[in-house]
Amino acid sequence: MNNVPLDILDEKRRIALAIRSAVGKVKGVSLVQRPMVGASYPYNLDVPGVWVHGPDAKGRYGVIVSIIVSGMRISEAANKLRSEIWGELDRRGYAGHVTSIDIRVEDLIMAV
Amino acid sequence: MRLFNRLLATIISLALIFGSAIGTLYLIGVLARLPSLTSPIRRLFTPLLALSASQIGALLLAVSLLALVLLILEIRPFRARFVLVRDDSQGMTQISRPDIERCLSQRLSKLRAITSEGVDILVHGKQFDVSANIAVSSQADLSQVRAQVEENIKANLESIGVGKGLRQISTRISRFKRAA
Repeated sequence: MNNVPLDILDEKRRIALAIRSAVGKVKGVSLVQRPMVGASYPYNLDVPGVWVHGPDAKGRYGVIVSIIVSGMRISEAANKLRSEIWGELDRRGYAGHVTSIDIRVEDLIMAV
Repeated sequence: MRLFNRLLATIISLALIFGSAIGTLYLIGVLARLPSLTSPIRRLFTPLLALSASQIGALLLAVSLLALVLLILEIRPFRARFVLVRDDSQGMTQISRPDIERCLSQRLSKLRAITSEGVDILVHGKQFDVSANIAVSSQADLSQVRAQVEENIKANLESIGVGKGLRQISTRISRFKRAA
């Protein structure tokens, strides 16, 4: 098995932390830990609910964010969350390192 | 458990029950020294004893391959777990299918005179079908109930924000007699 360079792991961790911080800013959305089928490791140990996969040939990463949404339409929550994540990644200088942000709504809590 | 595996589990269970019964009978025959009991069982297994080592090897290999296929079928996701809401260069947005099913089922249960027995979603790529199983009293007007259920499902999918991918709704209605 090839050793993964430490800077990749560190970069993944930093991206995941940036995403956690962005999720924290969106009201009604929270991260939820879900194991990823087929992943070499089930989830990011530092940030459960965020899986940073890659890098690809250009050294960029893909992100899967598993969330719970409460009291909001999914598209509305996803739009808010995406813009917040891109903003946070941009602020921390990682926007160019991420290709896409996949959002998986694992649980939807609607107002009764 | 899936239908195929359920069928196979039934066959294996029956084989085990049959095998145990024969084993017990054989044991009783040996202990009680009853050749009338042991000889038919021995005759039943004589063909197995006649197999050569390579034939037994091939048999074991076939059984292990079958077990491997079953294991893969069981482990691999059989149905899409997510319904697609959006897919573009920014990334995908998906929602857990069982979660929508639960949500729709709960909403249907709130309708008057309708008992929801579960909602099932079948995902076809970017689109999905919804099938609802409901129970109504024997006096209910079926066409009205069907329209009411479809309207409710559409409205709720729209309220979640996944109405765009809906392809069709099928409603299965069973009737029950309301106790007086």
